[in-house]
Amino acid sequence: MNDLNRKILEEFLIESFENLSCISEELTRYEKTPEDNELLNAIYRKVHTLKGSASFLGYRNLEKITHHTEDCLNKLQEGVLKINSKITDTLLESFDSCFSIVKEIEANGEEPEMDASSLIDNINKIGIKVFEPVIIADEKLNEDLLFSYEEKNKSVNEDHKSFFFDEEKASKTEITQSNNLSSVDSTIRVNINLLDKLMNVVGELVLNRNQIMQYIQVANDSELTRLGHQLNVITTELQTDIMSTRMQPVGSIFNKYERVVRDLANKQNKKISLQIIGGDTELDKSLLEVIKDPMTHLVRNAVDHGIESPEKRIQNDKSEEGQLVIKAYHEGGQVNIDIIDDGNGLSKEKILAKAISKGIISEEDSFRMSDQKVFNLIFAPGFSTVETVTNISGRGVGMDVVKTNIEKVSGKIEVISEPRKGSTFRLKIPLTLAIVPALIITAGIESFALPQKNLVELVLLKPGDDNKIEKIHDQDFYRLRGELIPVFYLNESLKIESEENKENDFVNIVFLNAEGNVYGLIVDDIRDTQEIVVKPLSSGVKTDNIFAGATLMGDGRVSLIIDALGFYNLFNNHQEKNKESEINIEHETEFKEESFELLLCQLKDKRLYGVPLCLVNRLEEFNLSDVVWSGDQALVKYRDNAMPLLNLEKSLKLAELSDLTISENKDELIINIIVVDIGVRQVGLVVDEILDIANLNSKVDEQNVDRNGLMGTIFANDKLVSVIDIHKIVASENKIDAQSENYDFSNCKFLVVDDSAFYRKIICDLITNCHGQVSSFSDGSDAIKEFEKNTSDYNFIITDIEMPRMNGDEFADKVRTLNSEIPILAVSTLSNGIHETKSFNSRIKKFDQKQFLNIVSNLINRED
Amino acid sequence: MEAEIERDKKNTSDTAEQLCGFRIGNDYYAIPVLEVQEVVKPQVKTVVPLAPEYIDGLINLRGQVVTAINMRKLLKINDENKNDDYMNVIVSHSDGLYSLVVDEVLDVMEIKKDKFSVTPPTLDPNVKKYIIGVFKLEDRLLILLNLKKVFEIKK
Repeated sequence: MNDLNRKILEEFLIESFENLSCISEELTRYEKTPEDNELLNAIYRKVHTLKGSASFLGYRNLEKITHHTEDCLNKLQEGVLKINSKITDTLLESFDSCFSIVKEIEANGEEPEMDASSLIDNINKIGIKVFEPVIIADEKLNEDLLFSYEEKNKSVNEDHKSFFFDEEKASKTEITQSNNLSSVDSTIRVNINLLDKLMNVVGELVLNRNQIMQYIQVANDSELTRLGHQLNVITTELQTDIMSTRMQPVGSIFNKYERVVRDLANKQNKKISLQIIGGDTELDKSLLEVIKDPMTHLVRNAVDHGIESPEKRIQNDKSEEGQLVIKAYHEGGQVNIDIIDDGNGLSKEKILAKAISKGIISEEDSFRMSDQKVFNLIFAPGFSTVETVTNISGRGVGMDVVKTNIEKVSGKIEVISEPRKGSTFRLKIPLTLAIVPALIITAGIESFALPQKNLVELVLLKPGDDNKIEKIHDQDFYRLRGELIPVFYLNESLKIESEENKENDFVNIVFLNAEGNVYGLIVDDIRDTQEIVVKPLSSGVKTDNIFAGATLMGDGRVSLIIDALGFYNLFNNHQEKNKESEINIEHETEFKEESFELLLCQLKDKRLYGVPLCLVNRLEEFNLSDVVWSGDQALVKYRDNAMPLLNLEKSLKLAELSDLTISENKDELIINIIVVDIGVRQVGLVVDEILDIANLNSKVDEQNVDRNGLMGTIFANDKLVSVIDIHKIVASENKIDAQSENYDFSNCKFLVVDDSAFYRKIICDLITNCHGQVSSFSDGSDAIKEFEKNTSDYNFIITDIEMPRMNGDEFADKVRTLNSEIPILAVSTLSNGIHETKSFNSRIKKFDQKQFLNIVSNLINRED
Repeated sequence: MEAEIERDKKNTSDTAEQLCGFRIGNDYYAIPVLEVQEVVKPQVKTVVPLAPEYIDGLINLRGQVVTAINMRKLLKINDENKNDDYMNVIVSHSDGLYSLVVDEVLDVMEIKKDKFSVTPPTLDPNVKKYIIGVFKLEDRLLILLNLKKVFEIKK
């Protein structure tokens, strides 16, 4: 094929695709508005052009089909026939086959072998008499075609057209026709990647312009100023134009739904009229692509599940015909697309029942859920409200995919529904992906961008109104119209130094909404709103997701974009985290079986007391006569040393006194002594009776401590046991030098991580007894945060191994990335699981304080 | 003729490597010159709050956001005689551009591979992981950085 022919063929293909792409939509629209003759003329014209081109290029099948179709349309124009759904069906079918023929031509350059007779028969069946193409018509057509290809750039000659249209029609259609031609002519296809690149380059140009403008102000050169202003104007224009190239009217995808709705409604014997409003609203091309499929799904859903059958509608006092509206409009810097049906609405009961049966929520939850939350359940994975799954709306995997797709482009989806009145699905789509309207605020010397979509309102507190920020514990709150809303100081949260000499005492609060969580940010200054270009952050700077990206400001500086939700999650969950950890601890004991042992004994008040077995050295019995007194201190000779005896009743300030003070019958009275190790020394605890050893999995409850010397309470074999805090008792008995002479950990700061409060306490006490400093944490992740902050402060780390969230191995590995030298001692009470990580310097399998102190001091000395 | 040149090129690339050298503290480091996109003077930096210590901040390089890594801090070289005179060595990575903040950029050097030896095992493991090996030059040692590991640290 020579070049000229190829060009003609290309022209034919482009034109035919363009004509055919919207012809079905136009026909369905015409079906609804049969009085719109202009629309019919447009359809006729397109078919006519196609027929002409087909006969010119010798595509016989295409010519035949279009010829018959044209005749049919002609009858409609003349009013011989009235449009009905059967005619529409047949015409649509013929358009479809035309489309597939043109597609085939594009692929192979030739018309496919096909039998068009059945289709033509169909067209005939609707009662139209069709003539075979007449030769004269062909000539005329060819003439027309040649004309249109050769002189396309000239406006269409009216005389010429009158060959085909009578005067009246021609005058009506002239304007649209010439418009069509010119728009085809002035459109070119551009790769979207090229546009993206252009956008970036223009972005750089804008920054460069800004820098030049700044320089001009200093340079003070009139000619340069003039040129600079010129550059400014041109750049701005270029920027606006480039941005607009990516924008496309949403109508381009909406029109496809005309056909979708029509076909679906026919298939289900429903009567539905589709109304499209705001089709010329523009949206970024790449966003359009993303929302296309989710929207199809929503439209199908509305037809399939939303709108009822005509009979049911009449029962419900509604018109037979269902109304489906697709509406696009701007709101607050984004485009909203509503898909509104007047159908049955969502049934709260059905959704709940389904969600419970699918295990998405528990029955308990269902009572507490607001309507909105219930409706949102339909977006949960694996949810479908219609009992029988039809092939139309998918299998219930759709809605969650719809939601994720919309959220992928940082859009939102909302459901509004009223029983028996219908439902509205509202998509909120940002105008473009790359450009976001944002509020610029400052903290210290840094400026930050807050995306406008999260912005609720700004509040300015006058000097002296500071007291409106109220405190509950450490958390600040502000009463916004009676509602208590948490506020955060941006400076403090981000650890930015604020300018000291704040001249005004105005307080700026920015209220943000992060997926329903409203909170305030106190910032130093509020600048203005700007359209910012979002640049992604590299993986290294993603700090707990509090920043959504970076942007370049007018002066060329980089500013960070605050992610409202990420910020909220990071700074608000202190309380929630605590709650969570409590819950976790409960669970944790179930599966980890981390245990500790208590020696159970009884004092004179006949209640149960427990001494941590890891501290117990031996159990001894002494004759009361062996007790010697040194001042007020009772001592016994034990392994050639004088061992102080502790009168627990006295220490705990119990009413009953122990046998120790009895002065009669000393020889006959045996006292039970628990010898405990405090440091390197031993202390004897005088108890009434030693009962048993209990192996416990639960936690020591520290809340019910009524007096000094008790660590807390715990249940052992269903009996309440008070756990004795020996270190505290020993410390309170000043006379006993409980501190170890052999171990001196002064100058040492320890970081202790153990989820068990019991061991944490024991370890901390041991260290403080040896003059060491301790910070203790119940959670590895908290500890690692502290360690990151003050790495150099610590010189010893003691960690448990089995911990929730971050176990000891992970913790130690993390520590090692920060400091490879620091000794890490692992303490585990779990005897089975064998963890060996290189990160640990040493490991204690069963807690024994002597061994513990030995190892600690060895490791410290090795350090030195 | 052309084939000869081609072979020559191959020979040199087999035995010698083109390296971009720079100074951090008192030590000399290098990365393959092809990794370096450009070298730029100090730029206005935007500090990233709550980011790891070795992240110096973000800089704007002709419209692209570059993450600056303070090599002194990363390699735990002490920051005492710190001066404001530094250079940004811009390196491209799959998730964006990075700037290695170094004290001074040296020449591009062509160094024979036989001068190369692997990292001595006695080095601090925290620093060792960023190093592939050492080139023994006549007057000094040139440490070859492992860029992959430098970028990996953040993950």
